[in-house]
Amino acid sequence: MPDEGFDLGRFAEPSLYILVSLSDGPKHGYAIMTDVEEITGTPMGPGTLYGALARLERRGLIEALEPVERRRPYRLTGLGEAMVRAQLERLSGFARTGMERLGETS
Amino acid sequence: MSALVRLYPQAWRDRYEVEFQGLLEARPPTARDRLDILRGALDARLHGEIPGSAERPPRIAPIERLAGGAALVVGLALTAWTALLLRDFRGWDAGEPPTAFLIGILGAISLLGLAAAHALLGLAGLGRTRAFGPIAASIAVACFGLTAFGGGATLIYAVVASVVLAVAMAGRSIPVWLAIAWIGATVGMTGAFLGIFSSDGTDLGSLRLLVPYGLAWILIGVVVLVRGLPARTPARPIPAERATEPQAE
Repeated sequence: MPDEGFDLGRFAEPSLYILVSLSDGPKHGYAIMTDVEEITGTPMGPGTLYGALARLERRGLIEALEPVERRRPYRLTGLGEAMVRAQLERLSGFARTGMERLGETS
Repeated sequence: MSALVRLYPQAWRDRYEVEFQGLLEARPPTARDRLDILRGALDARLHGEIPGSAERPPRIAPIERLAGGAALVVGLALTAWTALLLRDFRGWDAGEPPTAFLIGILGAISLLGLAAAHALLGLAGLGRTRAFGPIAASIAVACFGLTAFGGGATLIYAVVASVVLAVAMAGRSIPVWLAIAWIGATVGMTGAFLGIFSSDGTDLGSLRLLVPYGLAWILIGVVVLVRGLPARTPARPIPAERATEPQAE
């Protein structure tokens, strides 16, 4: 999974899931976890979630909002939105090409 | 569950502990989640990716990983070799040549020591010890190479190589605890050498002093692998009058 030069390492894929999850509005950790599981069908561990959140926040792709009780919501920044849009467009082109090729051979 | 969270570094806990604990209470972790948390704690300790904390640690260059790995293997091999010597040692002059197995291990240690010394000193030579680096590397490599011949002189070569390594590393801002560990281990190894020779090669006890030397290599290897080589000491500024001198044709 390309990470647009943000050097996310093994957190590149979980980070994309988180960015997609935050695309429709701010969410706290638990809401992100359940949303990602719903989108991908695969649960995301708490260690992976917070490893990715820390990286995304540090790179200015998301920002933390004021906590509500013990839950702190996160939201996309402008940079994060641009990055997730670019990645999804690339993935969309990749998927389209793959489907076309499959269509040619079947 | 709080025990698992305590594995994270303090800076991470200051920032995330409250919400993380809240998450774990809302969704009790499975065994797989617990492993994931362990992995996350290790990652936080190794990479320190915490918003608002100090500058991100620099990426560790492949050459630094090679140097650290070589130092780690040297340490493990040296410790294993010492253990074998302590088991089988009969004295250098007891008329019993070392077994082929021991010579093989010593050769492997020498080759790895050569790689470690070359990598460490080559990198150290990039700083203010630019001129000294290649010379020191050559001396250390030669000394480690000579250890392959075994015998009592082995430790002399190893001591010389250690001192040269220590001097070359002085060009870097080594953490105090690491410098103390290194000096202590080298003193221990020198003690082992003196003990062996003062007893005509029959003093088994002094060989134990080699153990901290092997452990120091292991420690250095782990530190270099995890944190990279210590930052280079900045070069001294060139005096203004020299900086403006015309270059010789």
